[in-house]
Amino acid sequence: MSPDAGSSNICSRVYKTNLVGNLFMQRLFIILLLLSVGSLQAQEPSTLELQREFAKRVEEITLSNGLRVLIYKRDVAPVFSGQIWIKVGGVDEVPGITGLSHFLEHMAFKGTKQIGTEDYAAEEPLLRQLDELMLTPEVARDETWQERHDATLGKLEKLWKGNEFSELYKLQGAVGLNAGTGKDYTVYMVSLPTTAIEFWMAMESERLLNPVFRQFYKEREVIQEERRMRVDNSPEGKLYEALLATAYWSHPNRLPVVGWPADMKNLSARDMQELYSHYYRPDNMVVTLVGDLDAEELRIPLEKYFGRIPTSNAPLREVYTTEPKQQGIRQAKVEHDATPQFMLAFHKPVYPNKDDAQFAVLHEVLSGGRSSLLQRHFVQQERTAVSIYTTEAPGERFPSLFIVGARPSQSSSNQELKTSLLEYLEKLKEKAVSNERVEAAKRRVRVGLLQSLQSNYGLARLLGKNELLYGDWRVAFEVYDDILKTTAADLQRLLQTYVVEDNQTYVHLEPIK
Amino acid sequence: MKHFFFCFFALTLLSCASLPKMPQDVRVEPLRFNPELPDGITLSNGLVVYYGYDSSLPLMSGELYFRGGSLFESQPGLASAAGSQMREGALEDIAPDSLDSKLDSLGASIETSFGQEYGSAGFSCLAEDVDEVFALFSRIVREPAYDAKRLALWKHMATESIRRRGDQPSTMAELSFQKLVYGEDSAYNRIPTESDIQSIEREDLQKFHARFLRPNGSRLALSGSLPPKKAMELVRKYFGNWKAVSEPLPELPQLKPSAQPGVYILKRPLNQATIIMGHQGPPRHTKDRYAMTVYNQVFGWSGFSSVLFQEIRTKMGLAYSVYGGLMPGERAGTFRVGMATRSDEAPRAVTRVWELIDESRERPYSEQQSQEAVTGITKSFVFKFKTPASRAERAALLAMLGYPPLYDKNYLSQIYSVSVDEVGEVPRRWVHPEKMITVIVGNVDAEDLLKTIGEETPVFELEFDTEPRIGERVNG
Repeated sequence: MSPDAGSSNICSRVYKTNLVGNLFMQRLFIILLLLSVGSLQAQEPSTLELQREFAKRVEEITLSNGLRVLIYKRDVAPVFSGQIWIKVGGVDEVPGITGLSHFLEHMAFKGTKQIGTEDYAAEEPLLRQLDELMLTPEVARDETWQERHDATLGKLEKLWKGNEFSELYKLQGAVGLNAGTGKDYTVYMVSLPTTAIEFWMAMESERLLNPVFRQFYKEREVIQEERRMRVDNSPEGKLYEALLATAYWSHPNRLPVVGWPADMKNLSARDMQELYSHYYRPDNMVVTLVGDLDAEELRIPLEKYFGRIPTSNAPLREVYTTEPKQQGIRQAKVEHDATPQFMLAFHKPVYPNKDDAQFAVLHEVLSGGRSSLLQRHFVQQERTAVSIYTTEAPGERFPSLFIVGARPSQSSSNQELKTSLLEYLEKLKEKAVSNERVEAAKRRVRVGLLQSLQSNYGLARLLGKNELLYGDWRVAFEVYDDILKTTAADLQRLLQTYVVEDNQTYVHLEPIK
Repeated sequence: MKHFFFCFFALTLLSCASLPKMPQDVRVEPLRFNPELPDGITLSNGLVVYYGYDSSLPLMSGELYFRGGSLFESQPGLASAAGSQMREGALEDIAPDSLDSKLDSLGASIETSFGQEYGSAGFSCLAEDVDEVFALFSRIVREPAYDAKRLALWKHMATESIRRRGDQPSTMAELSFQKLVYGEDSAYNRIPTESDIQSIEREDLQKFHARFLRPNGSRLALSGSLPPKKAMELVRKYFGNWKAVSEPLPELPQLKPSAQPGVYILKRPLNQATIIMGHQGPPRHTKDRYAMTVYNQVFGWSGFSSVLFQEIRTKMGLAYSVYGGLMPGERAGTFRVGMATRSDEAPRAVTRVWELIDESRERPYSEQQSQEAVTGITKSFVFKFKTPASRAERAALLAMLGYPPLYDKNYLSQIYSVSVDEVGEVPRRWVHPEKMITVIVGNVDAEDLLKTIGEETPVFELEFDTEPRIGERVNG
């Protein structure tokens, strides 16, 4: 069991590899065919074929309020995974309220008007009273303030029923009850025995409809602890935060999803209510269900429970800030009580740009597996790196970063390793990698997909994310087509286009002197 | 008559469109399922094979479990090297680089390792490649070459990783806790030094491998889309002539005494303190195992609804991560509580956890708490059987670890029969405040801590360069 067991948030980063890894569930016959032909001469199925095969199994239901529900039946065990996807995350925040959508995700576990309280009618005025009190600036808080605060909190604590929301889930055998907030979205997930499907609908629709932000100020402390653990006391976390704040000058991708410390201390219930009212609406959400369920039987109850979430006429806020083209190297240094490591990052486009899919192959060629180029050269042969990886972050809605990270071995340093890494990448621009490597990489991407098909959770994630971010889960197949078409020349072009000095950000962590 | 049908239809519609219920009012039918695991098939050499047939994907995977691990090593680091190098060091006729390229080009994997008490070797691949990959897998398990160059690379990497132990507060806390709880020079606490690593030779790995890798007593969990008959043919082809070894396996080593109970502070310039507290715990096979499972749920293993989480996180806002409970081990496991809290709140958090531990011993949990834990455990039991692969692996591991054959069949009734008194008895029998060792890594001042916890608890300084060392006692 991990120390985070049962905690309510997970990741503030969204790695593209996860998306690709889950892209193309379940057109098994076709994949089987494709793979049995042999990796080099494989005949690639068209997007259309893939869509058709897949579409047979995905049931799409749109409720009267516009909420989209995707259902996929899989009957290997009498269980299901349910997920709620909402398009709100770090990119929807501005300085002053950073961390708010993640904080809201935590608060969505605090219950509703009917869950988590002895008496909401008595609680509601007290909650307002406490919010008012907490808006008093700290310098203006005197003894009477403290007394009033303690008295109000004391009364509230008598009305609160612990973690009743999660407790109810536990009593139905729930596993994997959790949620996550990234740059682009918030997602709530849980798995249950199939007999609890109506219970799940009641729970999730209730928290979308009537959440109550109780225990707000204690939870505000909790998210600050989360920040200390994931960022302040983690070399990787600190370096990553510096990377985003350095690589992005204007786009909100530069802001940490967990929030800046001073913002977090001051997040208010009023701001949270506003964020919730604006973004938690049917046209900005997707529900996915995967497991031993029958879509036809769910149609009416889904409408009954989720159909009651009110629509909104207010236009959804757009993120209109874009990142101007980078013109010259950016860099930052972080000092921390740890051994050195660094990240090199390059701005890159996201879907629907065709280059996006090809990056999936580039990652495999560079750092996927023991025989990958960077692994073999820097870790095994030169031994100047103890680890080296490539990844993509921080999001998928807006232009993202291609990242190469490494830890130098004792015989090397950040600076030396970075220099030789860049030289190595320069050589790859001049001479394309072998076709054999590219084909092997594509095969690994495909096998990875197949392996990720095995869980209800993974499939629910695939459907939810694509439907939410791109308006159609079928988008996954378009990407798949582009991945399979990738050639060695394409990878060479990617490096020539994006891995250039003007587009480079270098952040390094050095031990405290 | 027509009229009647119309009314009936209207009524049906009406009842379907009934009002949404509150979750508490939704009637959930009990789930009926059979907690069935695949039967083991025993080869003539003693290897037991469990197969999970799953035709939904053209994939195959497997995991072989065998006895042996760091508990039995003559020098620290040996089991870790022997485990990883089984795969890394490839085969006599296939060099490590060729093996890596081969597997990467197939999108296949083979991985091997030794833990403390047992080791495992696993593979995964496309079903169409299974003959080739399974052949390699069996050879890796049976006749690894332990390539000298790869061993040199391993030594280099292991040395580098020793140098990086101080990077993460959680690593420092964990290593310190293990060392203090299991005592100096104990097989149950292995923290290799650079010279340990450098002294490991290829012959040591070969001897270690020869001592433990054998069909008799090992268990193979296999799953995938190959028809069961074909799968067994494959196993017989590649493992059928693997020779049984009659030499008995070594006994488990003796436990050593823990360090002196008390608080150990490793001071670091961090704004959050990483805390682990606990002591040696129960063996794996005890009649208390079911009551212990229920106790763990109530106390600190069940996420949001546990007492620890409710109190430390929800009520006090002191931690994001907090968990705790009894973790059985073959001979002795651990009782442990872990959390991370801002450095200046560490004294308050530690004191509160100690109180919660005391309370659990003095005032047993209520009938309701115990009942709710039982409900949670039994209703989620189905998830242990969610795929054919998870069923095969569970069967292999339960057998490997010596669980009774009908363990799963009887599990639910055993959990249901746990009484609230038995749950109350668990912490009194297995949790010992007087033995508690509390490790704190963070910017915590011993003087401040003593003001909160009282002078009677011994407080020591800890040092950590690349491994923990007990420093001066601060008080008394």
